[in-house]
Amino acid sequence: MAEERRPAFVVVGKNERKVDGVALVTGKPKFAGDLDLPGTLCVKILHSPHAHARIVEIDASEAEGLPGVACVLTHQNTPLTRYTTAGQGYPEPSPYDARMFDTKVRFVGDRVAAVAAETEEIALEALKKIRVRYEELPAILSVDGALAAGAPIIHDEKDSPGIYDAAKNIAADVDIDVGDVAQGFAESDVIVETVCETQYAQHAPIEPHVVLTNLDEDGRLVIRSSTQVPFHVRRIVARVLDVPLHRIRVIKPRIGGGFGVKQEVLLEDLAALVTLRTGRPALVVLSRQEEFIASRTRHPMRIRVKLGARSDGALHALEMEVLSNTGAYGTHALTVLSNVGSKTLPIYNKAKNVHFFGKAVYTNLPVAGAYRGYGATQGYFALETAMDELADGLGMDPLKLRRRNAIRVGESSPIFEKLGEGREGVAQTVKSCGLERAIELGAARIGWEEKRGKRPRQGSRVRGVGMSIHMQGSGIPQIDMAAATVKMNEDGSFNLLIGATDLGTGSDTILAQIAAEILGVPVSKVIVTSSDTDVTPFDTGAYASSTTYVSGKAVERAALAVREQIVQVAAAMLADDGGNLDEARFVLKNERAVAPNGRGVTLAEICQRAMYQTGQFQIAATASFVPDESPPPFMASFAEVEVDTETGRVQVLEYVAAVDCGVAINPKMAEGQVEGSVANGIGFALTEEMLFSSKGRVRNPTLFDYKILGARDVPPIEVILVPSFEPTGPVGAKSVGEIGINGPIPTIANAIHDAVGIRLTKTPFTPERVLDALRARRPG
Amino acid sequence: MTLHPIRLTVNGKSEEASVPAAMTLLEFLRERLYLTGAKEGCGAGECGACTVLLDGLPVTACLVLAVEGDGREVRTVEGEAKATGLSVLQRAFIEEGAIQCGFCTPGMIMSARGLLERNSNPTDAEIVEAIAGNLCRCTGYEAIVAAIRRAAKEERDRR
Amino acid sequence: MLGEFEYVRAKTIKGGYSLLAKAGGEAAVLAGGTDLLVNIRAGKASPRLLVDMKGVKSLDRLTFSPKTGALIGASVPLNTIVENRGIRTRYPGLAEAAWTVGSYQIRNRATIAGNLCNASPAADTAPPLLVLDAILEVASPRGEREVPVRSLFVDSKKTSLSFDEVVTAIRIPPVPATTRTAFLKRQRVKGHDLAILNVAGRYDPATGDLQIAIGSCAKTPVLVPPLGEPVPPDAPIPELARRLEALAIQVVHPISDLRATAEYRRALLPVFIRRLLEALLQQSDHREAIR
Repeated sequence: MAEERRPAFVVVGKNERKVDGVALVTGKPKFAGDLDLPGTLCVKILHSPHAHARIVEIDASEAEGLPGVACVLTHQNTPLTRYTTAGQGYPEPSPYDARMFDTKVRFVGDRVAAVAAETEEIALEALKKIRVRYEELPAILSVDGALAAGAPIIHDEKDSPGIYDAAKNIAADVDIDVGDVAQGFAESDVIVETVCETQYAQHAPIEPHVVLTNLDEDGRLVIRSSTQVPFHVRRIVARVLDVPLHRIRVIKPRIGGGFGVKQEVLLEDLAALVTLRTGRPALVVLSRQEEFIASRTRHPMRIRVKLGARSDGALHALEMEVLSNTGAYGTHALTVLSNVGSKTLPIYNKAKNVHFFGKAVYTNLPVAGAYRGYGATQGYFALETAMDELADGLGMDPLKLRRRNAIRVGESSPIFEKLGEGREGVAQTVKSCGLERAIELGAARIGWEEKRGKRPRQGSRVRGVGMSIHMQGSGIPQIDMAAATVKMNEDGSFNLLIGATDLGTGSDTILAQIAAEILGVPVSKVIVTSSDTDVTPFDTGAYASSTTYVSGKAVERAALAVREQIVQVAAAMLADDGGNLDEARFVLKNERAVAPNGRGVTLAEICQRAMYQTGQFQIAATASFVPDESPPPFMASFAEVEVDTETGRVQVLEYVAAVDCGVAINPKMAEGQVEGSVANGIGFALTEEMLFSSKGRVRNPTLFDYKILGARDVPPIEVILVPSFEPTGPVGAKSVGEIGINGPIPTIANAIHDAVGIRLTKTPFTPERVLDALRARRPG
Repeated sequence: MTLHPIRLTVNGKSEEASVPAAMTLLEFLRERLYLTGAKEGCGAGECGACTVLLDGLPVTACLVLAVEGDGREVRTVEGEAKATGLSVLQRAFIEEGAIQCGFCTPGMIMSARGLLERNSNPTDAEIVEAIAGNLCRCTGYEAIVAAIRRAAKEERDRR
Repeated sequence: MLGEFEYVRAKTIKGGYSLLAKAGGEAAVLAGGTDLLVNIRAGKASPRLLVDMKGVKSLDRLTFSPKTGALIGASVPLNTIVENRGIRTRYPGLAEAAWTVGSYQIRNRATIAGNLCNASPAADTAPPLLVLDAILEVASPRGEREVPVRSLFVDSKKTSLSFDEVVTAIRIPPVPATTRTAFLKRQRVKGHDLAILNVAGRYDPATGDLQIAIGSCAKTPVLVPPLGEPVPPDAPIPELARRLEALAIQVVHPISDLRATAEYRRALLPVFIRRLLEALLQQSDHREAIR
């Protein structure tokens, strides 16, 4: 249905080379930690050794007196302002429950103090000299513990707005329903119920958090940060430090991976305050250990899904109950919780009776935040496991059950309207959906028919195949805003100024492709400047899979506006021919503007005229875009696994992700996004787990003991891009950044079940868990 | 704190310096020579982002002392490109989409360069073996292996 | 910077152990640095002085002959051992074990001497060296002595060497051409990891001589007590495995740590003993089971 509308693209749809590729492949100093400013102070943080304690006394005098120490920060000399570190649009839907330095510590790793010194060695030495007296409090290390009667109150302060029920340790609460779910179950022929649990996992970007601040020649504060949200950083730092926003400039250099952990104002306040107090540049770099313990993690969750269906497989009632562990602070608590439902339930829109409810609960554990998938990853584990169980209960092929119930083009779901990100959502109709084709292609590629249920055995190893289906979103409707400026240069090139944040995702490149397509130039003639709050227009930042769709649409609009101006000048240039040139029928192509009569002028000639000759004006335009909807990308995910029944080890032999992201602006990059997110998801499914001591300390805060997938562990991942055309998207595109990560857990769980008949409901699926389940299953 | 005089060759250029014992080769390259290509991702030899060639062999510079570099030859990603332009390997990384955030890229390139110098016709398994100590969180490694495979072929064809 | 320590490069073996002696236990030998420097940074070790002996010429030689066996200098990096023709043909179990240590980059620096002296219960080169009756050649102010690997490990991270002793070489006695060695290791991932369990075995079908060693299952790597009788090549493996397991549990004491629980190690043990026997007796392709 989509194909008829699609124009022939020149630049879009091509695997254009990354615009920053040369700099990265030659090791140019592009990352925040690569910059060298003379006189930079090194900032180190003193972290809490206790999971829950009051700071009774803190004495920094000896540390301050150490030669080479420029300043020491504690709760005694820093702002009391409550804020959220969540990089979200204002007003942020997260509780303002954090302070720069609090009088209470709420997890092992919480901020106690910070030192800025001439060298790292002096700073670390000074940390040891800060004397702190703590009054230890009973710590809560589980959500059940947090909700138990008489549990200690983690946020007992009186000045933190936005907490749902602090006395009960509940950071956020959601409860929506459609129809009557109790009635729905009563009317169902088959009911299944499953409870799934996911673990503490960390993003482990290869570049840890890093911030460099300094005062420029005009005394303005410049913040260079490895951040996904430069504009939110500016606003929040301004408020927390009580500095006028216009005296702050935030620049995002290259980022060494984010995946959500950098959608947070984690360190900028610290570095900035040091610079303001000392007048000197300040550098904060987290060690790998700090990255694990004291940055952000995924929300561990326990999710119960109950499905009721008719005997023909039609879903009739759907209940999802979520218990989310948000750690010591509530950043992203409500929105991730909401997303568990908002990005999963609409895919089965035929269920007329739905109840989605849950809580995000505080614990004295590391702080959970945004992580690719943002709740959907956990939600799909439970939902797609339950669907597989349902297929089993109905005696139906899982593929058939999905096909029977999945949302289609032209359809809607009441969930879209009822459940947004932290508040009500926005009603929408699906306008592009390649899910059916994705299922078909993926099934063929993995060999579903031939392999399903066969359980071929070789020695102690048995194979199986599994699948799951997914949707995500493209931005946050009616909330996200992106803007772009396009300005022309007299050689026919353009500057593209975008707030949008490239964290390695390639957004600089694909946004340049969109502009280049519309302006009729090669990508090399579009010079991208991104994520500089002084220079580029606003963008909410890189999250919610928004950049291609939302920022892309802003770029499209700005480019179209510039196109109009170009054509006007071209028409004026060609007007001496007599006759009216229909501007609407001009074509921009090969760096020329060509009139309907075939005559044309080069873009360079056009701009030279506009800049120097007649009726001079700067050809430029700024445009914004706020999406009305969040068109979902779709994915059908398949895997073949091999389970060693003697050792419990699970190996993924092959993984297929068939993805519909509308028009893929840069197919290779889109595939790369899916490959990377799938690899991350496989780690989440099989090997990654943060382990804790009985005192709430992270036991494995190293890449040695927190195992992410290396080249030897990644199975062959096949990405199939299923084309569709999203009419509301820029050049027909939807976003693709997150969806891949949601597949591996349920797909692998379902494949394990096909292979050996065990149903794993706790991630990661370590060999121990698998072996235990296998033994439990054996009779006697 | 005693300072040790060292003399070494970095990317073909002779360097002399005085370094404390506890300074790593990685710190020396980044902070003294401003060669910021090699990155610190973990400081423990786990992630490979600091991989450089030491006398032609890939090593994690975060676990080599600067003093141990005395009398040795070090090559970093900054020395990979020639006067004539990017190397075949670098171009292959760009063409194959093997770079997303680029943080692991310098280490990957040096591991790959080390591989191609000792084995000009590696199998895919050998490529994977060579980069097994270089972690990437962005790409899932497929494109990186493809880039190295492609570069190996192009370099062979050129001979 | 990694910490606070001084560094000195020894020009001779004698210079090396003299420095250690003088430092009275506060110095450490810097071999590949891949354990020591990590430990220093993590605060688990704090020597005041690092003694680098890699410049001593005699220490970087690897010689092998079928008649005299192998002599591996203390500075020889693991990759050299992995790639050495003689080691690969005559002691394949050792080559495989060395290959599983860390990553390619780590193996360009790490040494067997370092792997052994670090004395982790999970040291990968230990089980094969145990079954091969390897011997450490050690030098100190008191002269030279030989320390069989089976007498080396005293406790987790502790050897029987004194602070002023320097390993100069590892000597592996010659074995008949008929001898087979094999090594299996279970890790959490196939990439860089310590063992959850590692086992090595040596078997000579001509004599029926069988010896196995187990790592990561006790405070030190351990030799399993001998069966006490020759094993014919067609011996039924399940029976043999059961007997060896009964012997093995006398000397292992698996614990729970970050990598695995004691129960899981205990469950894996018979599986790995059996697979090791299949590799040794039936020469099955066991490479699947490495990692």
